[in-house]
Amino acid sequence: MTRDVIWAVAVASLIVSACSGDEGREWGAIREFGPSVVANATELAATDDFRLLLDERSAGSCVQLVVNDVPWDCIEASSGVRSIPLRVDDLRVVWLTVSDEDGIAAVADHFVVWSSVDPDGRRIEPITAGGSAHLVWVMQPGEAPWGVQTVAADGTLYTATSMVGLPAS
Amino acid sequence: MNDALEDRLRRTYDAVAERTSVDAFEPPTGVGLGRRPSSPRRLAAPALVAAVVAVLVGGLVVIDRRGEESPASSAAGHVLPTLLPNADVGPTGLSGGGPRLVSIASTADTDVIEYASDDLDVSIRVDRAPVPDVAGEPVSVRDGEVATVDAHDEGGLLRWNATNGPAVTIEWTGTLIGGVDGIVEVVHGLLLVDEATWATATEHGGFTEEEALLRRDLGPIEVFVHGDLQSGLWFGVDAGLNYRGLVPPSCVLLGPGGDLDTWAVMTRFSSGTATVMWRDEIVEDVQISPFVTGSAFGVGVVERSEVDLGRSVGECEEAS
Repeated sequence: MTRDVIWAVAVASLIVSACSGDEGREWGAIREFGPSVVANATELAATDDFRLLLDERSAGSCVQLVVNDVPWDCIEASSGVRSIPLRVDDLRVVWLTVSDEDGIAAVADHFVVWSSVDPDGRRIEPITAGGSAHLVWVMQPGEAPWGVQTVAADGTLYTATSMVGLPAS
Repeated sequence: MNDALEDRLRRTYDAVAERTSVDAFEPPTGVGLGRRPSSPRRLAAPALVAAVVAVLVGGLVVIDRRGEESPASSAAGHVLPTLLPNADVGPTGLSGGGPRLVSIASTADTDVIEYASDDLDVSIRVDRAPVPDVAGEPVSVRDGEVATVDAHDEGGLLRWNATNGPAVTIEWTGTLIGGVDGIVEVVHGLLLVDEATWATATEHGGFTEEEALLRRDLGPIEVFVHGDLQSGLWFGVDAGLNYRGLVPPSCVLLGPGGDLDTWAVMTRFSSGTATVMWRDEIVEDVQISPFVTGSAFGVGVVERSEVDLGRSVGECEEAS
């Protein structure tokens, strides 16, 4: 990756991160009466706490996170890094999406999350779809997130996203 | 800068002058405050914004973090890297594309910061207690100082005993673009910081809350170091439109500041003169002083009533 591209990615990540909900450092409450769960979506991942759905429309695909059966907006893929800290009742989730300017999800080989529970970092594999790589990071009770590394296939840092300041509860 | 702080600075520098034998040094306030002269002639990494404060051994630490005065503290026993080696493009002020931070360890006597990738691992170790010398060849580093380096094809080690600071050992394994020069760049970009700044930079695994770690008040403009050990450290100015890591060449313009009339000249040399060449071909010299004590970087101030979003309004270089 050339230095110019590195610079552009870093600046873009700062801008996107600042505009995505990190500013003010609060967990965004998912609206009880917000959007509906997309119909006929492909389930990318599912746990007891969340589902990640891919809606492939004719006008372009979007990915929707559903936390404890409460859906968030279906988000279209866009270049850069977007981090969305969300809360449903006592459950806190960080949803981070990454793709480069060409809409290539493969820039993210894996993620490493850092927090008060994982002070040395913990690897999480990405969920890839819709031209982006997705991280859905479920917080433990009392866990304070510090940040996320997006790591490329050669082990280098693609980008680091700070989450310091988000409440631990 | 207020009178109390200025008085404290002057007392500190007087105390240090009594104990050290150095070239004439001007305190970091009031120097380089530039009105236009009467006779005009890196690393990582974007940034990241934080202010660097030099800590004088046995003297006063001035940490103008967030514009607040801080009490005197201990010597500069820690370092923060602003430039990191890269297996692909050479030294860079950004960690993006380079080895990622994998660990930060700190005890009463040592700090170790480790970066790793498939092709290159780098560790930066600081020892505040005496350590044995290492064998190797001399190599010139910042400000005319000499370090010891032992390099081979698959890695190596460089030991630099910082003036009025700790012993710094940089070890690397793997491919190093530019050879030993890449490690010398790391030394050039090290900022000596005190305990409080180190704690802020490291307490959350190298992530920070988008705060300025260090600030240098130049009067009409303030330069700060922003970012973190994860993404890299950048130099910028309040309300400025660009953040820069100080990789070669020798200097950059930061700004304009909040008044839109003042620019900071940030240099890879800590004293002397920088020549600024504006787009309209006006050339002027700017006096440079150390960014903070113990830094290989310097700063100066120049006025220019021009704002051009996203484009360079001029260039600078070390005066010949």
